[in-house]
Amino acid sequence: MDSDAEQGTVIDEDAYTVRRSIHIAAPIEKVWAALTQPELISKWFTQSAVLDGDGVGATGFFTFSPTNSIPVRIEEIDKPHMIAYRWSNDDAAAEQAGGRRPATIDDEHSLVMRFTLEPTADGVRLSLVETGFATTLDPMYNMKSHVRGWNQMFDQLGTYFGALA
Amino acid sequence: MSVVAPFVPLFAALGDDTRWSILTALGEGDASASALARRLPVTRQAIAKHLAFLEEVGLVDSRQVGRELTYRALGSRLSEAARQLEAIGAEWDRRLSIIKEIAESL
Repeated sequence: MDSDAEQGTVIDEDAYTVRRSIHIAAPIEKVWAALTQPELISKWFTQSAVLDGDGVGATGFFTFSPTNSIPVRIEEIDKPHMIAYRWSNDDAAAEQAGGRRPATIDDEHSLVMRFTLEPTADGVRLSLVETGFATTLDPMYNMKSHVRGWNQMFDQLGTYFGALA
Repeated sequence: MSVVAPFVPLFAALGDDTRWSILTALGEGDASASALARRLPVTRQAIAKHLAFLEEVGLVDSRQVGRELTYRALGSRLSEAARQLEAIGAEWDRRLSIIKEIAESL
């Protein structure tokens, strides 16, 4: 696999963040198409994808199974360099709601996956940043009101517990 | 994402300044609730309650030393959270490699 495994998972800001990137030997327009056309999204991510538009604020559903449709919204777009989808994939919250998924996005408790496309000499470097893992349930969200930022917290964890891990 | 759920009690446990102070203090060395109460501006009773919570989510464990229960900070629970994030990252590696295949064959 031509991905940056050595980059690892980066933890930063006020939440857990997952970052990944990969080099793709294709024109930027084709990578853009794979990321934005619902029929192509359904090849790498979902069983099916529906969006009611292609600009900021367009909403729809990513469907993973007949009983698992997740609301999604285009949060930011800068064609063909960046697109961010906000989605509410939260199994724990759904379990608490008796298996029901939210019909609309809960902005305060959702994930954002942001794709960035940078042209290179022979293709595109595609980067993915997914944020929001700390906001998908109340106990985590409430943490944000606490004085200590995650950065400081994890710095300290590294210092104090690194040797124990 | 089912990997999110196990984080909840862990984050809740960490999301409290007093518990954080306790963990920080334990990071410097094992200690009893009484010893912690002497170092922190919190009563021994409150510290005992926080320690019970931290023990429940696996951030500390305890052992009897003489007449005292001594607490120790554990790093493994946080490593577990890191491993779960790694799993999410690995899933993205898989998705990105499919995106690559799609874009390169369009």
